[in-house]
Order: sequence, then C-alpha cells, then structure tokens
Amino acid sequence: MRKTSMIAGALSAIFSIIILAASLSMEYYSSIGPGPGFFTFWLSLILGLLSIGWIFQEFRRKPKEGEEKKTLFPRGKSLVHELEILGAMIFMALFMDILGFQISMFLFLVFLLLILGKVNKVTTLVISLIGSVGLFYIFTGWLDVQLPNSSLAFLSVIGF
Amino acid sequence: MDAFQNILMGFSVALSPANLLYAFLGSAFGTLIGVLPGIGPAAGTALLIPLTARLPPTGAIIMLTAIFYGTQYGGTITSVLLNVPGEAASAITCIDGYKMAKKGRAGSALSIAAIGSFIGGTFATIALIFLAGPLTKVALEFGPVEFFSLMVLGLSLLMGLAGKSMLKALMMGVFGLLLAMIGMDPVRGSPRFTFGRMELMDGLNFVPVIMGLFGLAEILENAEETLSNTTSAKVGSLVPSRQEVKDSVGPIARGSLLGTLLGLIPGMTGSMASFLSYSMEKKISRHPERFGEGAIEGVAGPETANNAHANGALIPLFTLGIPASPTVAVLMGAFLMNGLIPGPFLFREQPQLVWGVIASFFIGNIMLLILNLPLIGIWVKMLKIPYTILFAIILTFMVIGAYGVDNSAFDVIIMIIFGFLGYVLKKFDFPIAPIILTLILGPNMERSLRRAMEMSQGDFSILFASPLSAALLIVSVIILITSSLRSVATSRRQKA
Repeated sequence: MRKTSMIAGALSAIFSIIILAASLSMEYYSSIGPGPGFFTFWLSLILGLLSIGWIFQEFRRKPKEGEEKKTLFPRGKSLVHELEILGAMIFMALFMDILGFQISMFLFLVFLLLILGKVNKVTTLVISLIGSVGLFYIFTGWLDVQLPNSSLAFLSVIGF
Repeated sequence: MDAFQNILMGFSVALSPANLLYAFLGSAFGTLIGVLPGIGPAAGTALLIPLTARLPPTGAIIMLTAIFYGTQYGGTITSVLLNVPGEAASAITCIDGYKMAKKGRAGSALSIAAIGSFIGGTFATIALIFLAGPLTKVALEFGPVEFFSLMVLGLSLLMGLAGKSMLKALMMGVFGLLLAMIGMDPVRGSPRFTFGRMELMDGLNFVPVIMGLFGLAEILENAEETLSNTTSAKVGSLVPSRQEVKDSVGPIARGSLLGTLLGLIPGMTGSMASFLSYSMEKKISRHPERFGEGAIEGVAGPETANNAHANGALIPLFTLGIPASPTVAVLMGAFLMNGLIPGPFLFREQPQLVWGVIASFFIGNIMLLILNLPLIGIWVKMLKIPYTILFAIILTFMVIGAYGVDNSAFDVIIMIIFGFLGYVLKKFDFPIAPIILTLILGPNMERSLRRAMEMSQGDFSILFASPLSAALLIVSVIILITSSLRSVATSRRQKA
C-alpha cells in the first residue's frame, strides 16, 4: 500500500500541474481585483505541494506489518462484485435515455437481484417490476419528477 | 417576547395539514435511512432532495430537516440490535446498547435512547429560538471580509478534527474547493473547467457528488465482503426499570447541553458529540467499570448528545449561513436549490418560512418519539430485509436521485465517478467530509474574497483590517498549526 500511496500522490501532483497550467490561461488579476484564475492558481499550487508532502510522508513511513501484501483493490469474488455493481451503474447511465427508465431499471434490478444477489426468481420479478414500472408511475405521476422515456420510437409508442 | 411571538407564528405555519405531512414523511424517511446500514445521513438526505423538488420551499425544507434529525433516531436501532451503526453518530452506542440487547434489555435501551433524543433535540431547538435573534444581529454586521474569515474558521476546524492526518484533510479541503471552481466564474461569468459541457456551466451538482462519495462508495466497500443477510435480536419490553430511568437523568441533561454547544461549533460532527458524551459519562461515573458491559448511561448520554447536536448544528446554518457538518452542508445546498440563502437575511425576508421550519422541529421530534417507541416493530421488521435486496433498492433510489436533480444521465455518470473516487479515497484513509463542505462553501468563499479584494483594490491587508476578521483568521491558523503538530506527534508515537 505504501508504494500505491506514492503512485497516488504522484497522480495527484500531476493533476494539480494540469489544473495549474489551465489556470494560467485564465485572467489572474485585473484592476478591480482577483480574476477567474486567481483562486484556481493558488489552490492547484497548494494541492501540488500537499501531494508532494504526502509522497514524502509515505516514503519516510515504515510500513506496518503485512501492509506490503495489501492491495488497493480486492481480488477474486469481491473484485467481481464491485465491477458488477459499477458495470450495472454504467449500464443505467448509458442506456436509461435509450431504453427508457422502465426497461433499463427492470434489467438493472434483475441483474443485481438474480445474478449478483442470488435472490429467488419470484422475489426478483416482483421487486424489479415495482422498482421499474411502479416507481416510474409514482415519480412521474405523483411526485412530478421526470424520468426518461425510451428514445426509440417503437418502445416509446407502447409506453416505455 | 419577540422569540415567543415568532415561534407562535412558526407553529401557525408548521401545523398546517400539508406541513404536518411533510414533517411526518421526513421523520419516517429519516428513521428509515438511520435504520438501514450502508447509507449515511448525508447521502440519504441528498438522495431524497429530488422528492422535494416540486414542493413549496417551506414544505421542502421542513421535510429535509426532518430527514436529517430523523436519521439520528434511526441509527440507534441498528446499533442496539445488530451491533452495526446505522450512521456514524450512533457507533458509540454499539458498545453498551448491544450488550444491553444481549442481556434482553434492548427495549429499555431503545426507549431511553428515544426519550433522550427527544429531550436533546427539543433542548437544542429552544436554544435556536433564543440564540437566533442575537446571532442574526451580529451576522447582519458582517461584510464579505468577515464572512470569508468565518468560513475559513469553519473549514480549519473541520480539517483539524477530521481523520488522522491533517495533510490528508487539507488535501481533501483544497480538492473540494477546486471542484467548486467548476462552472461559471461567480464574478465575471466566464466558464472554468467546463470542457464545453453545458451540464457543467452551473457547476457540479452536489447531490450526485455526495451520493457518490458517501453512498456508492459505501456500497462498493460492502461488496468486498460476502453479501449476507441481516438478522436482528428481539426488542423485549420497552418499559425501562426505575433504576434505569434514574441513571439516565444526568446523562440526558448533560448530553443535551454538550450536544447543543458542540452543534454551534462548525466542524464538530454528531459522532464527535456522542463520543465526547460517552467519555464524559464514563469519567464522571462512580462505576466506570460498568461501561462496556451494558450501562444505560452509555446509551442515554451519546444518543441525547447526537440529537442535540443535529438540531444545534442548524443554529449556525440558520443564523450565519455556515454549515457545521457535511449533512448540514447538504441541507444548505437544498436551501440554495429552493432559491433561499440561509443566514441572517432569511430571518428578515422570509420570517414565516424560517420560524415555520423551526417550529416544525418540535413537531418532528414528537413524531419521531412516536415512530421510535410504539412503532419500533416496523423498523425492526425493516432490518430483516436481506442486504442482497436492500443494496439493489438503495442503488435504484440513487439512480433516480442523481437523475432527478436535472433530468440528466450526465449526473448519474458524475455519481459513478465520485463513487469510485470515494471508494479509493477511503482505502487511502482520506476523510471525505472536507470535500463536501468546501464544494458547497467554495463559491461563497470565492465571492466573498473577491468582493473584499474589489473593495480594497486588491490589498490583502483588508482581511486583517477588521478586528473580528483578524481574530477569526488568527484562530484558524492556530487551529491548523496545533492540529498539524498533534498529527505529527501521533505519527511519531506510532513509529516509536
């Protein structure tokens, strides 16, 4: 983890350099006071210095017992679980506008419950229908929160 | 007399059927969020903001504040029955609360916690009523210089108290401020770091950011362990014994005072209030050996303190416009989304709204007492929902919550990015709270500083020209230095 921390510190320092460079293209100061680049310049500079401080701190720190064996991400089943959750969320972000809320959420819930959670089929079906079609009508009809309909004509025509 | 008339006016607003319903819904949702492990008060409150989007501002704020203080009640239930804190402020309750449950006294622990929470919350609300007048008078004298310095003080307190490493807390604070720079420049109106995306012109939406950092990150962390079902202990009789009531009186009184006072200090969180209350009760107890073995004082004190803190933390928000903790920062964001700027001017411009919301705290606390005592069985049943189902439901509401803010899938992507970032930051032991506070306070801080600079023609000494501003900045520097020294001393001690 110590090495990983130092790499993360270096990435943070690079990030601050990029922001610093972008700040230089903005107006730093004008006759009436600080411009849009003033705050960003100083903040990125401070973040860069703090990142270097973190790298230095990690470099000097003695690793705790067993720390070197620790990894940033878990391995095996745990990693698969995390990737599946992230993948399902990314699916929702990308397909919600295309398939519409009801279909995408139904697929999302079926995946999370049946495949990831190993919940039985009947419970999965009931929860997925309530969570997709049910919530769509509650939010759009009663709570006035807009949720997307499908951008595909053949789906939106039939109410999705 | 003024305060009395104001609160009477507030009750006339809060007791309308619609506002009673909003207070009830907020209290119930808050308890639910507190009960469910895996979603804290900040993410939970942010999650439900879209639900209030179409409500009138008074109703929306009544509901959201009730969610906030309701979470403190609900968190106790899981701490006592499962030994898993529903939210951080109830973590300390696990020690004696769970031991009491194992001895078959879970009902007593939950009753005393609910009564203590009610007394603590009510005490802090009374303090708010009496402090509102004097504090807003002081705040009305503040100019941009003083506001900037006050925000610096709040942030330095939070960073000084957050996490184990001052360096990491500072990094997070600065990172949050940089995130706050995204969008239109508040003075000139020119775009910054928007990458040509219209969605970023108004800045990063704080709702998906908070849900990602606090909610999704937590779910990803939980996914590392096998997704297992939850079980719960039996509640038993809710009536505490005479001795338990007698033993709880002192801790409840002290917890009310301590929590309210700590709520006034920006940077102090509910978990600090409950932790300090526990330590204090243990220190002054004639039988400290009973702590950790199921002492009712170890439940009564912390639970009262964290509720008094929750209501007390609303005092600086209402009077000065300064959020004291990440969840209060979320509430501040909700105020801003409703076109309301919390602070002294709100009392002058929207007295009905402000006093209506304050009066609703009394009503909300009574509702919570009922929800958490006679209706405790409902929440215990909720705990029996397997986590494999629960996490899918939470993720569903997160997607709706993020999408609902601006009707944009872009915000869902923002939530995923910050969820992953929050997960990684937790692995490196970075505190998350400073990001949220600086993200929400950042635009105000920049605006205040730049206005001050315009006033002084770019002369930074204006920050020290006013004695109050100078004092606030000096105290901030002292806090940062002492916290850094403490952090260095701790790491040296660990090395030795």
